[in-house]
Amino acid sequence: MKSLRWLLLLAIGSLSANASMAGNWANFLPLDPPKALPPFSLEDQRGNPFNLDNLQHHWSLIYVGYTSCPDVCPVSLLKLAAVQKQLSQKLKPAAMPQVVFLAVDPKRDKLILAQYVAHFNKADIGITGQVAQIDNLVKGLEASYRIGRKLAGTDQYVVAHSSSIAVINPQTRMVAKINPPFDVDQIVSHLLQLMHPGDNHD
Amino acid sequence: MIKPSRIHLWKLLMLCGLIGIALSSHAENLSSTSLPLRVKDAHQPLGIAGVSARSGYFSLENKGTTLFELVKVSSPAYGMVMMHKSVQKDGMDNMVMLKHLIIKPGHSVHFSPGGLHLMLLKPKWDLKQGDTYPVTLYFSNGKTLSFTMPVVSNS
Repeated sequence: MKSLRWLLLLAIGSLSANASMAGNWANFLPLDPPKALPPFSLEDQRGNPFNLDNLQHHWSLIYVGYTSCPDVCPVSLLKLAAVQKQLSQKLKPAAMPQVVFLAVDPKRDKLILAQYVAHFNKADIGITGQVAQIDNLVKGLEASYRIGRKLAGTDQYVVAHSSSIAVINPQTRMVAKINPPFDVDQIVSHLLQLMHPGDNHD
Repeated sequence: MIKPSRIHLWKLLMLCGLIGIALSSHAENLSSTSLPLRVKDAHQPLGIAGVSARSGYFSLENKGTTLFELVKVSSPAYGMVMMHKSVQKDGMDNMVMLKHLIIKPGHSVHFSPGGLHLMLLKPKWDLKQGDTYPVTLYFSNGKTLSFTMPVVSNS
């Protein structure tokens, strides 16, 4: 009788936890059906080819930005590094999602991409390349960017870019978008549900 | 007639007073103009080698009874300092330049990551973590306020 009561309490607890989780998906938007990414041909920060094959067999989190971004990109990449840190306590190294920074300003990004991504997390991947190839992937991610005019009196310019993070499954399909503000705990919780549905992630 | 030992005591007290004033104005980042403004939490993340643009952050509180309008920021450490604001609109992150910023009486403005920030361009020398440099704020009423910006780690 006592054990039956415990089972009942556990079931109620589990139901309410799921209900509260379901109500918290505001910034984490699952795509139904998932969207297949188009082929693309870019280079990673070490100059190695990076294409659709490199997204296979891993979960990936792709963020669109540029290295000269002094404020928003570092904040977002630091949040992603915090997500990685939390996930590393729950997942085996082989199961960790890879963070991919898609740098859309190759003229300025290419030379410093390696030190830029390593600054946030040594495991992060930075990719860039020819504009047409960047645009292929950006379009596939339903993202966008716009290179602005030069700031007066300087050779610097601002690049407007999508603020969301794309979640790509090991079959190279985009399964969700994460919109800001980025809450690390919430992202970790939702990612674990998405990657391992049915598991208890408490 | 004041005895010599009293003169020394007065000198000592005056010296202590001056040191006290100097310390308190440094702690609150107040300039010598004694404006009713207070700068807090000033810091510049070190930034990433190779990336020329840096960001500076601080809070500015208007403790007075009149409005202040910030119209320019400068520093000897950078050839160009601009007020920028990161904005999110229609799913896009962008930065817009501000030509002026109003601080109402009794209010504060916060330059913080993901929002208002100083865009620091054309560094004049290499800055390392732990370094400090002066920043001057210029207001539409002709007043200025200087404070010290420390360079901190990026995290």
